[in-house]
Amino acid sequence: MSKKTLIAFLVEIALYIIAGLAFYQGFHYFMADVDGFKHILKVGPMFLSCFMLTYLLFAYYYLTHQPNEEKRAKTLKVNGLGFIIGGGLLLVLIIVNLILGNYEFGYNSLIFPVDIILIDVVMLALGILITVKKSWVLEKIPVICKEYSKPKWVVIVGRVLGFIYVWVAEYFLAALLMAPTYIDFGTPTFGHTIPLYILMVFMSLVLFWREFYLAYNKEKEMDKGVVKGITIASLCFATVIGIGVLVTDLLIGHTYYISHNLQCILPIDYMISKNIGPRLLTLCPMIALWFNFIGSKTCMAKANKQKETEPLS
Amino acid sequence: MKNKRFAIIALMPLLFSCTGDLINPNYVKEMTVSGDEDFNVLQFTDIHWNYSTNIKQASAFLTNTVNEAKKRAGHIDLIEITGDSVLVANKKIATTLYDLVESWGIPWAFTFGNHDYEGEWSEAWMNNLVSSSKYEHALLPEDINKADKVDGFSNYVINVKRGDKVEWQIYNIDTHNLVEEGGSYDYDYIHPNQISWYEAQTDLAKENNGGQYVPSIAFFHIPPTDIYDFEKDGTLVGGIKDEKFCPGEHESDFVKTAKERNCRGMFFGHDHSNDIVWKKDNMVFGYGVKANTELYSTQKDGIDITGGAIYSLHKDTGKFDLEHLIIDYDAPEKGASTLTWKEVNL
Repeated sequence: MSKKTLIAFLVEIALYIIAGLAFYQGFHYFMADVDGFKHILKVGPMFLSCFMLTYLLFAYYYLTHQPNEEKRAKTLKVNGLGFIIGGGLLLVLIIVNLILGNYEFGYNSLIFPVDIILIDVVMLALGILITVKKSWVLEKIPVICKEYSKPKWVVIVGRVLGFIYVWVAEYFLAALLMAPTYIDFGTPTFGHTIPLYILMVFMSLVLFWREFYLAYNKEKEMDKGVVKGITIASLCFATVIGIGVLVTDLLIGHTYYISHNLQCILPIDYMISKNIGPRLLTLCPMIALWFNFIGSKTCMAKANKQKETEPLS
Repeated sequence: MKNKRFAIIALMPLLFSCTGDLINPNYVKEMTVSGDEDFNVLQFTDIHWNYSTNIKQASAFLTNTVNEAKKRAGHIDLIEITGDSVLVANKKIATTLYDLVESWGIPWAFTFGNHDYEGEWSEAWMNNLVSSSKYEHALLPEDINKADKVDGFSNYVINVKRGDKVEWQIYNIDTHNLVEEGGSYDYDYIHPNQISWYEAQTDLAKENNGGQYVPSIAFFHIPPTDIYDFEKDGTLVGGIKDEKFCPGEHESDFVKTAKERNCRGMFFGHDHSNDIVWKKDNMVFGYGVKANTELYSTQKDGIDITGGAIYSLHKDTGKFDLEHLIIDYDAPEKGASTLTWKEVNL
């Protein structure tokens, strides 16, 4: 892996973690007002500013995973405009809230509302930089994967699932990083939560591995990595199934352990009275492993083999 | 026979240790009332401070309600916060709320609701905060609920004494949070070991009261399933019902047990759009008044059904007055609205 590719990979991981922490906070702002959005003028700019960093992550991802130069330039242009409009509009709304006295300093975070203002200023500045210095940005940000011939359905399904997966994975990684604020080692059921904490980090590890795998294989022939990838993915797949079974078993036997330990990170579960958090944590990595390493790689290997065996016309 | 005797002797430490768990003196808080005065309790429920709350407005509303209650009742001796004081929030917001309550200089009791653990803290943090020495007027006992065999953090009793006599008991019961049932969550209920604890406490008070159960009232968050019986067979005392009841999903013997032990009233929150109260079999049973418009609330005649409930416990008689003090959330300067209702000598 070249130094440039490695740096781009590390930037992506760092951005993912920062965006995750902001997404986690933004999601809690969103959940605080979800019942009717009575305070949308106040809370809207709060959670949207936090979500802007995830938008930046997606934009960076498409830029570094698009080998076609023409499409890269288009991606950069559209997202640059998006950053300017999004960041600018949110800054205006924050100023309106400040004038109305809706934001009380230091309540929602240590430096609130300076944190959300900073995010929007950075987004606006990035948007302007991208628009003014498009070629320079294109040159500086490398492509970290090569173009593979994927079936169209893989591309479409991958994009849709990818969005959902990243939201869930970055949220739970941030939830794990925020654990010092809510974790209590003294509860009798603390031990039961360990499999869920493993799954929380596992979801992001699958993503990191995928990104590393793509970057690492950039200069290599895809087929060589397929067998290794499928083997590791299958082992991980089995591990997730095992932890998932353990979580389900614990849920049956110890009905209070999630509400006693993890309620603050599973607000949707408590809003809709359904225990979906543990299921998401189990199902998402299984789908991702299958889709990225088992299903699609097998499919691609088959396609490549077929190509090789086709008679030259 | 000898073996049986031995077995009983051998089991005695175990029996004592179990009873000890249920009658630990730390469960009991004492307050005194002098002269012929009533002991006045102001109940706040479902305050729900969260990230979207305008803290200044919400603080002013609560303080104004306390002041209005003082005007009505003459004095407030105890503030009861019956759960869901916070929602999705952080430690700063929660601490600001309890600092405000403490600043009123009135003793305050506290029970947990199902939303109280949704913030970015652990159960232990919340419990430690409210029972910490930082809050001189808070009555939630420190530590006791952590290590005992009684489910929940906020089970304790306040003995209201006039002279040497315990005239009233005020029970705080933890209705917990949610219980998982086959992939979905149901609202929790008062568990059997809490009822045993309640029995032990009432028996102890009875022993010291010449063999008579002391009149009591109980505060908690989630209504019990008995609410349907009260709606069906009870006599309406006052208030409105503007949403379906959301009681705990499991039946509990708590109401039946409490009735047998001279419990004169049970008051809770949880359903924000209901403040209805009934009377049945010598017991008053119903909702308090939501103390904020957060999450959802209801209106009547254009006025928010928000404010507090005042319970004036009378001397000797075992009777009390009940008043729902309803103050429009967006216009607290109007004072208590015409929707306020009062019933005496319940």
